[in-house]
Amino acid sequence: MIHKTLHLARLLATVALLVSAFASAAMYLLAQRAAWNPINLSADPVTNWEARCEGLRQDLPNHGSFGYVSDWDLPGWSGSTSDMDNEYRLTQYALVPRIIVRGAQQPQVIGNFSREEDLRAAQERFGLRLVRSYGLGIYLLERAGP
Amino acid sequence: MIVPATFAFIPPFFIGLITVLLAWPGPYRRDLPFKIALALGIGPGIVSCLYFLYSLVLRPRSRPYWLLEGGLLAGLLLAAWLLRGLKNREASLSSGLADPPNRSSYLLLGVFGFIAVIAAASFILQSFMQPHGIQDAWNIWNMRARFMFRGGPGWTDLFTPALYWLNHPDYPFLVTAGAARAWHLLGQETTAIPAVQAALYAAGLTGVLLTGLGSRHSWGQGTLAGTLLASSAWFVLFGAWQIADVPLTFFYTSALFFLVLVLSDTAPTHPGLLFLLALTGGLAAWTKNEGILFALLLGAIWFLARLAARSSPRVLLRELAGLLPGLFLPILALLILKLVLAPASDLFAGQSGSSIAARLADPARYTLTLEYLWHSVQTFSTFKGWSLTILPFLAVYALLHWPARGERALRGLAYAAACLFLLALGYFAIYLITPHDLVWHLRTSTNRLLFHLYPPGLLLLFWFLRQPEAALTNPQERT
Repeated sequence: MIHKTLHLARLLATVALLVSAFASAAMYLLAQRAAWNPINLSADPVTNWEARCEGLRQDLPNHGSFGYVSDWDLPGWSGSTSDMDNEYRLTQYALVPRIIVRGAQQPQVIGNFSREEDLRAAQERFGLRLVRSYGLGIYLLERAGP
Repeated sequence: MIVPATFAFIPPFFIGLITVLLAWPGPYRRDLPFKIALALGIGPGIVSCLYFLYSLVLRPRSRPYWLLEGGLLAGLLLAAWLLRGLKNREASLSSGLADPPNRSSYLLLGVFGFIAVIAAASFILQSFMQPHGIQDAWNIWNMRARFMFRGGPGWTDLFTPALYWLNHPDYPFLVTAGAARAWHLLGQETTAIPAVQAALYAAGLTGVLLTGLGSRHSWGQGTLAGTLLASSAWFVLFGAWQIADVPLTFFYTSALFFLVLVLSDTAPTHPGLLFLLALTGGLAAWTKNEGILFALLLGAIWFLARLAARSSPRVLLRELAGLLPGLFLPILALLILKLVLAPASDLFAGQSGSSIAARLADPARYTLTLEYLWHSVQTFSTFKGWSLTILPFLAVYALLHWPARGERALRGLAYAAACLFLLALGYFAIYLITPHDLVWHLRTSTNRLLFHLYPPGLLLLFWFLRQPEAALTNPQERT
């Protein structure tokens, strides 16, 4: 009797484990299906940022260090630090093997600004001259003086 | 692009397979499914070390590399051909407790197959939605691979202190160099390569669990462990995200499998098993910094176990001679990376004894870490509100399948479990002493670190428990 009960309990435990595993996998697949966006096949955020930096990639020398200034380098900025940080990292990823360094210490500096006023404020603050605008807030700048 | 990307990993697969065939005791055809699963990770691991070392001497993307890799493959093929007679006569590893598969095993295998298809579909969807992987993938692993692929002889610029510290140039290069090598072979930088590489390690990890337990214990046990792994949302996500956590757990699980085999017997072990133990442990260290701690623990546990068994110095030296060749390639690559190229790890740079002691003495750090870990355990196998955890079911299953006293030879399993436990303690200690904001550190890593323990934990648990086939068979049918 005890053996039969134990056998039944083991059988139930095995089946319950398998059902929970199936439910877990199936629910996750459904969640993935719900989140599926066919736009991502050709236009995920990383690919989009790479396209944004393509002009820079063509113009910059293949090696060396380049500065990077953005909205968060301006006084009074109050946006999302993680968004700014993400865009900085995306720029580095797009422009490998160049080294992208935050700040305006290098002779050539990449600008990433959401508004033209911020670009002008950064030029004034860091003493930078606009070399080229690539659209969508991406700029190549250089130090205006010695 | 998926098909050419897959072809790029065929040479490493055969390098891994022949290495395992030569090292595993007995004829080549024995335990072939397990050897194939192991080769899916070991081969790419070996060529990753090779490509990294080559790129330091000659420029990456230069043709002589293929002579080196081709030469290695040809040499291994020749050795396998020359040694075939010897291997055929060599005694096989006893099959442990493994029973031949029966009707219940095939039933469980069917369930596993079904769930594996669901997991594969989720993996593919995730890979298409994030072709560059998650932020850590493109910001660390794939970005450094781009340096190797695009950078020419100047690729080592990535080790400049000017690079943003969150790009982690000090992290080991298994995933990075593996992707760069495959891009080199294809001649183009495609997102399919990191995705296929991630899929190989995920398939290898599932295969090692399934066939490792299948060959040493029971096929039902292997398929059940494989099913639980494949059904985990974390497993699919961490795999498809193209980060290094699934490859790391592949090597953890494989190395602990060999540790159990090596330490289950007090007699001197077959040198091939020692070689595979050292190779998988070394490749874990070449995958992530956590793997370095794991490799050190493996060595310490092996040494303590031999001391406890009162092994003679002669036996110790003989076993050490089996271990060292397996360590050579990954540890050479790791030492050059850590001692010559990379900046200090962000976890230890600038830390003093007093600052570490002050953090260790802060009770709030213990409670906060435990709270986050507990939260991660609770959300295990859940995804975006889909809350269904398998852990309570697993606990009940384990209690009901607990083996009777004396039913298992526990020595090897106990040592491997101790290794895993000490690894978990090591992880905990890192949280206590981290110089970063503790909440940020916990929030961004606890689920991944807990996952590191899950597949090797499944291996050891199911190796220990009774097989499920008995429960699925009618008791009268069995008698």
